[in-house]
Amino acid sequence: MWAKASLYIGLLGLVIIAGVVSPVFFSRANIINLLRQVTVNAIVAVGQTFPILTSGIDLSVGSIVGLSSVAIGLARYYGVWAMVAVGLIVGIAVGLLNGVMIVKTKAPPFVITLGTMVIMRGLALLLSKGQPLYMEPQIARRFDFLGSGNIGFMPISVVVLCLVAFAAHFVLQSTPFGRYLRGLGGNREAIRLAGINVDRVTVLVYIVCGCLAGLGGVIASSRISCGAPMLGEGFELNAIAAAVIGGTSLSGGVGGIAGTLVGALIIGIINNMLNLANVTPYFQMIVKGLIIIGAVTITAERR
Amino acid sequence: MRRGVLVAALTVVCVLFTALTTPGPAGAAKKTYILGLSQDNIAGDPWRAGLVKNVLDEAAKYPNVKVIVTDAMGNTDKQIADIEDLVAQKIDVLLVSPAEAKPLTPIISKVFRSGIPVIVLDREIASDDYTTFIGASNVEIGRKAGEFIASYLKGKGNIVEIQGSPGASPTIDRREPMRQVISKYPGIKIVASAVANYDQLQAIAAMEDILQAHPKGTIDLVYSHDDSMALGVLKVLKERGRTEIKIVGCDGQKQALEAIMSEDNIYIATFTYPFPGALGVKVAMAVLNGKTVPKRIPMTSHLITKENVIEFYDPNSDF
Repeated sequence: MWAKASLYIGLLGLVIIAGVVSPVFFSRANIINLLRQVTVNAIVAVGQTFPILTSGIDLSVGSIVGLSSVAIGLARYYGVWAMVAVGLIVGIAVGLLNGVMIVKTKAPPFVITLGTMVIMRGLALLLSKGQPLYMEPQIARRFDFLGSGNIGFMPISVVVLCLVAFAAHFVLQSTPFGRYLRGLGGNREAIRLAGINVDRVTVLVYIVCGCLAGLGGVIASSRISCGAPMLGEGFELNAIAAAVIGGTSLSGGVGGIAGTLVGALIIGIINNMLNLANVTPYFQMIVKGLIIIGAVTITAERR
Repeated sequence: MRRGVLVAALTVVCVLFTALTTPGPAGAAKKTYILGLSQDNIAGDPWRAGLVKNVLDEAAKYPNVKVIVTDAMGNTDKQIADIEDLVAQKIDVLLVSPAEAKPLTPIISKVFRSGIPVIVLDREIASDDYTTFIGASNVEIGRKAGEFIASYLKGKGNIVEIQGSPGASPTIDRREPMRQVISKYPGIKIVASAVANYDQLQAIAAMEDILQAHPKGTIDLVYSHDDSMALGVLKVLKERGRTEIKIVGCDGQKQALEAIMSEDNIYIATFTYPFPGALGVKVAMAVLNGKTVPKRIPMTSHLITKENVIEFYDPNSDF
């Protein structure tokens, strides 16, 4: 209980500090910037929460973002919806591959997804010949809406994030699948003995994670109007950080989407605040690391 | 049992692979030259990928030249091993584009002293043991950028700097000379500086934040260490209607040239960073034919603005 409360107290504290550090922090324009900047990490982190809850992990999400981006770049002459579709399909396909390999080989997810992380980055570079695939202006203008467009004053990407987060929260809290996957992190044997098809749940978990990483790739590519093979490098670490800061335990079972969103927000606010305050870039890295450690120590579950 | 089969299968594959890829006895009739190109990072660096293509395109003009390319993927240890492997494949000339000068100096020196001509591309090593160095200078870009910005702002204005990867030599070379030049103008101030690691998405976020902290009229110009980050900045400026701010980039990337050509006059300048690849192949052929070549062939970086952009624009370019 304390862990959960302290997470929100931590967020509130950070928001207050940000407001003190920079007077423009609370301006509407800045809040919208902030939300837009956290979307991609937040979506990928929501996906990452699924495997982590089963005490697994998916290190390939950053590479999925890159591969999805390249697929989008290659599909750019086939219309906006084809671009969105290939981006998602790439994520689903890699997720399926991860899930099946984890189930069949019984190897630790860390190792399998470390492998696919390298493979998919290689594939992204191979398909794009190592070059960013820039969208021509007329294509970029049509594809821009996901990353840059607004509904009223709300960025579309933020609306997408909200929908994704609600759906993920619902799935985890109110469906049998959600209960099983949480159980996998807690007591795998009990779930198996209850007659649940553990393999199917596991594969599905990695498909969800891959699909959301693909969606992250779609939004990020739209933001930069480009299919970029190196896009998403290091995203796996940010996503894991968001989930962990948000109180999801790396040993599984404990945590949820709300925490992950707060975790992603905390990371976003740190970046935004330090930029606003014109802190020297090198010093920013040190502050960021300290805040991450601080946040985790405060919110970590007491054992 | 299954494991045994797997090992056997792998062995067969390896043997086949070696048999297929090992060159047969060299044809006595016509001498084929092998150029070894050791590149630091093709995968993660579009400019270096462009350099490789530049070498291959030129080499394709010579029917008796074969190029073997290696990619160290940004890893100096691997690049040393790559060079040793190239020598083992009996290359006639080594073309090398090092990541870090110091650690590669001993191996390059060794190759050169063993009698293989070495052409160093883009980045210099820390000794004289090479045949020719060909490359442009980031220091020159930094200096020219400073001079251009100072004269454009007429000695007075506020600058934002978008930096590449911290500690990387192009970042230092594009930053320090520029800062030195503008430090002579007390009216020019760097009001914000962000690190975006040559990554467009990071440049977008950084610029969004900087615009919040610096309202209209308090920024005159953005200097970005490469064009891809500058293109991200351009996007933000247009979205936020902050079109009073001007952009100066580096590299001479195609999309940057298109932005300079456009009517909105936000992207005002970039600097070419020419590929030394084609020239490298020409020099290699000259050396193989017994000609003497200069020790250093500097390539000039050109300032590109609206006035001359069309001379540099190639719609079919990959970069």
